[in-house]
Amino acid sequence: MTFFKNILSIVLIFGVISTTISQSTYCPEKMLLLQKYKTKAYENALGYVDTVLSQCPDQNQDPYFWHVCGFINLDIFKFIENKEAGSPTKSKAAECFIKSINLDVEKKYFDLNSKLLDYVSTFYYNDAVKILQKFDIKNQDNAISYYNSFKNLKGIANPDYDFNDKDLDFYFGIGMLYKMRYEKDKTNNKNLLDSCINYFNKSLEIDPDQYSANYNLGIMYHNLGVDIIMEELDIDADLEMVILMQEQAVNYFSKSLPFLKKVYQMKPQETSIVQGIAAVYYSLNDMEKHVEYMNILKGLESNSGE
Amino acid sequence: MPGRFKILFLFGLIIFFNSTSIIAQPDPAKASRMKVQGIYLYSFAKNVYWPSNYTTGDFTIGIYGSKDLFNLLNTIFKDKVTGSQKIVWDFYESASDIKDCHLLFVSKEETSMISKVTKKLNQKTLLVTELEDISNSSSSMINFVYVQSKLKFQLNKSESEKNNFKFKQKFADLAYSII
Repeated sequence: MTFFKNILSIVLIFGVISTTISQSTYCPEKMLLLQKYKTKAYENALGYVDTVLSQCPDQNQDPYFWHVCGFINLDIFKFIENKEAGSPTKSKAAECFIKSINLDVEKKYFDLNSKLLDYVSTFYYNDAVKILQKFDIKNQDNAISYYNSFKNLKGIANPDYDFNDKDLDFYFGIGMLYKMRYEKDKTNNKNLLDSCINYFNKSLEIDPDQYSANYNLGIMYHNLGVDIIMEELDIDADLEMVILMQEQAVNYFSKSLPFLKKVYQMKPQETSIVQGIAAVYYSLNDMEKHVEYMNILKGLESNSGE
Repeated sequence: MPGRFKILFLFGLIIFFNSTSIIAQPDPAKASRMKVQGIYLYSFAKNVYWPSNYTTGDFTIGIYGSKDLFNLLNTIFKDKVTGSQKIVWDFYESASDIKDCHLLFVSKEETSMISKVTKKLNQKTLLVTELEDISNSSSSMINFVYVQSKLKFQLNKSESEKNNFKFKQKFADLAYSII
């Protein structure tokens, strides 16, 4: 950030000189704003933004003015708000830098604006990841919103940036949060299942061989089938209902198998996968295959015990 | 860059998630299969026109061969009734243990003992089996069969009626096959 500070000093000096010598852009309120900012009176400087815009309407079209506004907001975010997640000034800073980029036809501030946008985008990314790290299921929607902001800003700062790796991890992480929320209260959170599956599938669209999403979908689909019978099927249900719910359960069991088979190819020594496949075959009443995988499991377990 | 640092955490998170995912054990799969069997057995009790002298006292459903099934059903169907009769679950470890019961389920593992079981029964018991082919056992009255991974049942109407057990029509309509 020292880099940004040094650059800003040069920019500020340039701004003051150009503001002083150029009669057409002379704006005393803007001078005051710059002075306040230079003395680190960030909030005072921010208070002058609206005054400048009302007294000197041409500043609205000045990329330098918006560039400085971006800095003011960014410093408030950093030094006054202590980089608080969800800070409106962080978003304001980004808006100012974008405005500056859009007005800057000569691309005088383009490189610096882009670097600053990129810098702001990392805060959004980190805040999104922090929610995943803490398993903060209450802030899951914020994680999605922060991540989208990260992508938006990063995409402007670096139009060629390849988001695939980050998308892959993020979609999987969000899928896991949905899964946790669902498992916390299966009855009331059933509506979250589609989102969970959707996010796992989104990460598989990027990399169909992603182990974690395949594994979790495999286990989840099987457990969903079991839950239909164990949690949802009432013991007083009439036989029509039993037939219907068995149908649904078998549908889930069948969906589970390809995912587990895929991860088995990746990690044939992983006992939990073999156990999962054996369970799915048991649930599908394919006893021959169930026994086959139970024998594989026994072999793996005896090898690991040796 | 902070972003780079954080992504390492995210990878750690993924590994953590993998290691803590709830693994589908065969046990829940087994329990769900037994629960469906239990619901069927319970509905057999409710969908048979029992001779009037069978409709007083407790209604006993015997399980021969599968202790796990007995344990599960004895727990989740505890205090269930059919008509005014309380359902009581009983477990028999061997054919010689079998006592008078309204309905007897013989698990697949004990299929070879069917003829011995039949000799032990006194025609007062509705016999439910898990045979590959019901035609091999004329004594089975209801047989569990898996069709496309789903548990269904076959009715041996002639054998049942011979023993004065009649099925409600709506129930019979749901049978996979009737012989």
